[in-house]
Amino acid sequence: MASDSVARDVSSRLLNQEDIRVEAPTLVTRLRRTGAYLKDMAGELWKSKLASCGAFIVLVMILVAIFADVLARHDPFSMTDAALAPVSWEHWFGTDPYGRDIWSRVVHGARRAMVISASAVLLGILLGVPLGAVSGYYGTTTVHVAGRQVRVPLDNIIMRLVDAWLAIPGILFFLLVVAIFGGSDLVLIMTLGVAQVPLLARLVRGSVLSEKTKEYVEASHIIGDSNLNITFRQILPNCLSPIIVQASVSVGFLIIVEAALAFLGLGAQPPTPAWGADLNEAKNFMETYPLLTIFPGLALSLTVLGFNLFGDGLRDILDPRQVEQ
Amino acid sequence: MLAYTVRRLLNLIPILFLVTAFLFFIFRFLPGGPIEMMVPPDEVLDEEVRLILEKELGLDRPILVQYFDWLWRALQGDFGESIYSQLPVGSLIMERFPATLYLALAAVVLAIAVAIPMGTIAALRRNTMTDYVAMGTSVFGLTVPNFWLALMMILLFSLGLRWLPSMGYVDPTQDFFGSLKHFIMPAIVLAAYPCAVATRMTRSSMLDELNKDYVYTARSQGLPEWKIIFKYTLKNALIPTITIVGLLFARQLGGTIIIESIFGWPGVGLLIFEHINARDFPVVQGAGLLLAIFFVGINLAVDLMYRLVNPRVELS
Repeated sequence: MASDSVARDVSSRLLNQEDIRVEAPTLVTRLRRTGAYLKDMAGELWKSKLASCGAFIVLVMILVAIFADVLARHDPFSMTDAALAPVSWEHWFGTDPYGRDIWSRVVHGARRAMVISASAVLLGILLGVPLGAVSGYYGTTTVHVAGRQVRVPLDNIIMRLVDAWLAIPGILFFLLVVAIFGGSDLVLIMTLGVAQVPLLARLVRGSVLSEKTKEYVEASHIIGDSNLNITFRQILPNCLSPIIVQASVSVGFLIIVEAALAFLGLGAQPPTPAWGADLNEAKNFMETYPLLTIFPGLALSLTVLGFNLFGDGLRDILDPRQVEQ
Repeated sequence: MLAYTVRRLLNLIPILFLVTAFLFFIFRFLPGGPIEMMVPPDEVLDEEVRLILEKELGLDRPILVQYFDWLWRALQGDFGESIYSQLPVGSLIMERFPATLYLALAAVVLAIAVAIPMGTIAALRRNTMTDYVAMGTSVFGLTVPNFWLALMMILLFSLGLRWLPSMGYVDPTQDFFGSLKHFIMPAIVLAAYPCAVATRMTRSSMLDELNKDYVYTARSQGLPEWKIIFKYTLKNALIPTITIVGLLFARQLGGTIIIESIFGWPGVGLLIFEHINARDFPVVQGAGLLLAIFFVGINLAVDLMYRLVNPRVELS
């Protein structure tokens, strides 16, 4: 067989000839490569009007979150006599029934929304990506227990757990956990993060499954690379695109969930400046002062819009298979 | 197909087992447990009374025994009694279930009725103003959080224009036309997201279909465009749309918790919300399990239907 001898030839060369071994890239070259990659992506993103619009909104929101203290013109907590003041130069968005400046509260709410949902997504990635990678790469694995070989259907076990996890309606899960463990920021981040795990695990499993049949994985096996190394250093870097896209969409989604929980009275409690909690309070003044319900909701919608457009744009660039016509 | 169906049904067993375990054990993390919840906050519970109560509620038994006992009863349709009202959970849920079902159905019908024409027209008039308006509207539906949309609609239609009631429910089987004005706002709010997704889905799969060879052949044979669209492409293009609407419909059952609490809609969602705050766990467990069963059931049904109408899908 011709192909067989070629494979043997290639593998013997890989094993014997030192000169074709690729040097491990130094930190500087790595950073330079990442920089060039990001620059390329920004260039691609710029081509789509909607995507760059989304990127712009996301960027603005990140800046607002970072510089909330500077942008807020008043203390978001301080109550004044100027209750329910209309929109003015002093109070850009007016004041709430306790005389607090709504602009300042919306700006600080942005910080809260971004920090909580971004941390939650990060946690979800840290837990879900290894889980999905292991599930996709190992499938059924053999473990030695007390001198006997035991076949562990890792993939099957993990995927059934994921199915069960997905079968619990999301909002019910959040309500239950927050009602029982309280709505502190830490609990919120953990709950929202853990809830992202099944989706991410399934996503990563899918890409790992398709990636592990490729030639470079076989080549790594031939060189004698360990399974763990192949999974996390060879395969996973090639599965980043869908993870990045999902992360962007997830941040937007979790901002909504966090606000919805606060709106139901779970999670952020007054007087914390949070969009959902502020909307919950505003609900009681809808008849007399409808303006209260508008600004936090607008900020919320705008942020989510930004993340959705940004995510869609990233998908077009990174994952050309899924591009809509 | 039959083997596949059986395998999928068997797969449901571990899933539902894990769901019930979650619903059961999470309430054991309650500080003080359910008995503490029955006592007014300013009263101190007598140790003796606590023991009697524990015995009465069966909380003194080993936790696994409690779990399997609850599971066994639940399998027979007995979800226990509400801690507060002492009413059987099963009848509490069945009383509330129709309202949620009607609302979800209304939302699905609305979503499909809007999404299919809108997506089709957007695909046929690709890259024109019509397309941009349709897609812009769908981005709006994807983006605006449903509870804020609900507030804005109440602000406009109830408080501003005074056209629609902001709260309440009328049973459509009793007074169909009287119930309509109660249904409009909750149904629109609930339909917004699935409708937006389905519109985009219809548009993109319609575009896929229109680019296929059989359309080219049909056109070259002189078949009128409307016939090609209505007789051939639309049928094929709707498969993914119906699938996604089915899946979203299943997910909507959980989403009704927020919508029902805003509109005071007496459904399962409001039932869960009321009892979660009171930590009345038999009710929440029962209603949560119902939602989960519906969720996996609809998912399975959609999956099987999808494979039935599209046999090319691999049965793996």
